[in-house]
Amino acid sequence: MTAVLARDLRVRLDGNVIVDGIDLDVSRGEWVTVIGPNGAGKSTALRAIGGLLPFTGTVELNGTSVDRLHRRERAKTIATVAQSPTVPPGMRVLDYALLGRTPYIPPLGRESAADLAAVEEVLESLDVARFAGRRLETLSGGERQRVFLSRALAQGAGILLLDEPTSALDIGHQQEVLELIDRLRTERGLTVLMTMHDLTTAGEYADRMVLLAEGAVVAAGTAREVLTEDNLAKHYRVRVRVIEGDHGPLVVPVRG
Amino acid sequence: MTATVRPAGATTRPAGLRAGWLAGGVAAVLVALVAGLAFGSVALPPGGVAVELLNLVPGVHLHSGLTAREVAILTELRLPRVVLGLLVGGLLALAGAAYQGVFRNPLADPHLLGVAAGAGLGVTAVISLRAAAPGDATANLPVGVPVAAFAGALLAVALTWLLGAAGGRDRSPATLILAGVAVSSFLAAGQTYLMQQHVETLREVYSWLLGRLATAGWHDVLIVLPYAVITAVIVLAQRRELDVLTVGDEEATGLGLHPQRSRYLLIVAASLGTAAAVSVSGLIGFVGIIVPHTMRLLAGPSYRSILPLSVLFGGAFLALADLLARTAGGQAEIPIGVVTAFFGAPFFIVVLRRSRGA
Repeated sequence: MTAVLARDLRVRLDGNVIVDGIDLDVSRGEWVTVIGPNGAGKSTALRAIGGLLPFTGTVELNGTSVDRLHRRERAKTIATVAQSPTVPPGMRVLDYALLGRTPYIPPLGRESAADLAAVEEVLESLDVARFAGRRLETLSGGERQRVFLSRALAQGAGILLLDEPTSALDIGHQQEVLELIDRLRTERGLTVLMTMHDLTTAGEYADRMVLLAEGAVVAAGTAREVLTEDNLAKHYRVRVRVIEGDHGPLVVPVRG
Repeated sequence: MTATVRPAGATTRPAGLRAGWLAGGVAAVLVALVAGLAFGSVALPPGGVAVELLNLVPGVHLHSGLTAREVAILTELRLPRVVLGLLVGGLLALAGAAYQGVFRNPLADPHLLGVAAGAGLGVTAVISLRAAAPGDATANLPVGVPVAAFAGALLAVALTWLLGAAGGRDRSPATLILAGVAVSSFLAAGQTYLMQQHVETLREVYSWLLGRLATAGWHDVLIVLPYAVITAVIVLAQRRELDVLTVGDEEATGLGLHPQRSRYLLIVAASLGTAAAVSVSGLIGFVGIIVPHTMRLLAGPSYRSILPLSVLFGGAFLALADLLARTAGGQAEIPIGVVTAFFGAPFFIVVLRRSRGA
């Protein structure tokens, strides 16, 4: 079953074509990572799929066109974590995670005991329940990233869109967050579509990769198929050595 | 099964209006009400005032010990004035809190956004044009005044928003306020022009500009009441949406909200409330900054507590400010706008410093 399907997806921002007709398929339970140089359109494509930007073309989530999904239904189907989510001043971790229950709370209503229980379960699962009463701005980068994830998981959506979830983290915390996402994917049967800059790490975790350049898909497949010296030299304009590692290709930039 | 340590998360309650704060707000309103009724040029015993207030409840007849003249002072002069102070203060504070949430700008306030100036232009236009038309000019403001004030308020907030947006995506809180200052100046110029053209109404316009709580009667209360109810219902209904909007429009959209729709609704409601307040009370500044920020500091950043508490404490604040205005200056009353500015201007500087440091 296809969780995310995009056909001829095009996005224009301020008159510029940023995403120029891409096709994308992500099966249910699959982890697909979109890579590409800066300005390739990765984040824009992700935001369009998440329903956050106007686009032309087709986007289907679990077989239903996003145009036919009410905003609340869409929010229960797909959850997005932006590259640098806004940290509301003074907001506590519990209240931030509870925002994820917004699509379940009727207009004029308030959180039910079930909403609170769902959020507490997510906070436990991400090991941030002990921070529940702390303000977001007092947390470290790694802790904060887990809280952002908890807000997305609280939405109860089966599809998770993550835009550069590890870009602000050191390599230890990068690995910790990616392992956590992998565990959640298995435990909760989530579909993961993310963007990433670190090619080696991206290849180690993703089932499949999509390489974007200038708004178009230029390569797609397993890490071994996409992370080739030719592909990277051509689209990143960089000299690299690709070495076979235990969990996929290791990409090493070499001085030209 | 082994005993587990109860996680901290289980003991943390979600943000919202705490019963203690709500009780505090109601108590503040009651204190302001009794104090506002008891003190003035003729002092009335607070106990007798409280009993007379109870006598207003249908079916209650208690002996207050007040003379008929004192009861008349209480119910015909002071009560409408204090009730109007409570309504106007509550509305201005609620509108300020709503604007701060909508624009995600801690400095947003009905006056700084130019909304009050727009409403003022509307009121001046009605007073001037009514004087130009043949017929009697009664002491009471015409019922059409809030409508003209509302039109002026909406025009002002739209202009400020457009001008502030011209700064591009990287606009800071200060950009919007600068736009508000420019719009205020422009609308004030229009108001001055109207006043110049209709010098015969100068006195009436000035007495209104300095604050009309001094001449408040039940007529003013009845004019503002329906607008106050509509504003309060709409803004309070959006209190959770305002919390969600703090994460930004894109994420709020991802959470299933329609941020632009919520924003328009809140702007219209807050402008309606401001217009109603301005049309009966004149220009009273800083309530929309002082009260919501104090509530934010005391009760936390959630609009679910800031909004209802702003209504209660805003009302109490203005009723007490009015008490100060009519008692501190001896025989002559101090304009209430002067009293609120006296407290508000230093407060504004503190908020500005905090928001720049954030």
